[in-house]
Amino acid sequence: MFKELDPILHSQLRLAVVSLLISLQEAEFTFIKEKTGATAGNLSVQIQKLKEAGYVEVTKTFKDNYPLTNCKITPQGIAAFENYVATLQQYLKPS
Amino acid sequence: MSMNNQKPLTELESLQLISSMIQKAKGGVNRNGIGALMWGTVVALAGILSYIKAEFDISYGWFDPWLLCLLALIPQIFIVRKERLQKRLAKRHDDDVINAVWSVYGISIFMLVFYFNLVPAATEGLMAQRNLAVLLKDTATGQIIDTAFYTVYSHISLLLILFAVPTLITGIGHQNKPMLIGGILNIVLFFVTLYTNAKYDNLIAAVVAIGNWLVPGIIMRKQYLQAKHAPANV
Repeated sequence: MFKELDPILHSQLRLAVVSLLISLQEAEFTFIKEKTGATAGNLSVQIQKLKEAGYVEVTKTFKDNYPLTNCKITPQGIAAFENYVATLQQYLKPS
Repeated sequence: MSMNNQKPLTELESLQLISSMIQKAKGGVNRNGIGALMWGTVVALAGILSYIKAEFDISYGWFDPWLLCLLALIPQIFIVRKERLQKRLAKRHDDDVINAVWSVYGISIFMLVFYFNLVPAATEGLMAQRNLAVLLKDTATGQIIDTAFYTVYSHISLLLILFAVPTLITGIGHQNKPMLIGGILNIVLFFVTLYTNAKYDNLIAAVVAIGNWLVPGIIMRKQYLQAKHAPANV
């Protein structure tokens, strides 16, 4: 019996964001926007969903009067990602 | 694959997306290369000036070209401070460790230059207390050339050991190929300096500096500027 894929992660943009953050200590919003090619509005909504799920930690600061949004994956997010990859592998394993 | 299109992913597409984003993260964190460029230039210059001094018997007076390394530490502190103040767009997991390695390297260079300058005189003093002295004798003529010959033998070899440490850690840790190649060349040339005349060791140190930092620094700078001027949305 296959486990169900985590619906929070099984979305193109959210999965892209988490995959990016898993390799980094932290990343700024503009960096994630550039790497994913998403629009600011869509990215903002998806990051908010990841934050609500407890997968991503978001901190807002200011530099030279410009807002900076930093995103960092949480231990819960790492566990969810590992779980997601393990489930995916289960699906792709030849039976 | 457009990220703004939220169509359901197949399992294979998910894996491809994960793999591509991990690759993008790896390649997306570029250092500005200024530190490497500066160290490479300073050490190469110190090595070349020291070689010219030894080869052509030129006197620079009180100035020892290797003191340039100490001088280069001052802007290095400002560069590290500025990088910390400027919030970088993304930070790798090992960034703090690599920065710590380079800071400890800077302190170690500082200590080694002190060692080179203080140990000969300290040895002379300690031996004098025991009524002993190291003399330099010309074995062909039997003449004593120097009545107080104290030196650190093949001191460049010691510098090369130290040069290799942060370079190889960065090369391996950050998968920085130019630094990895530079670090390997550094190790090979360390063994060469064990057999060469001290004046040529200075030239070898200059080659090591070019391989370890100057060339990787130029490459890093190029990549950094390319990434900086790339369009924001792919």
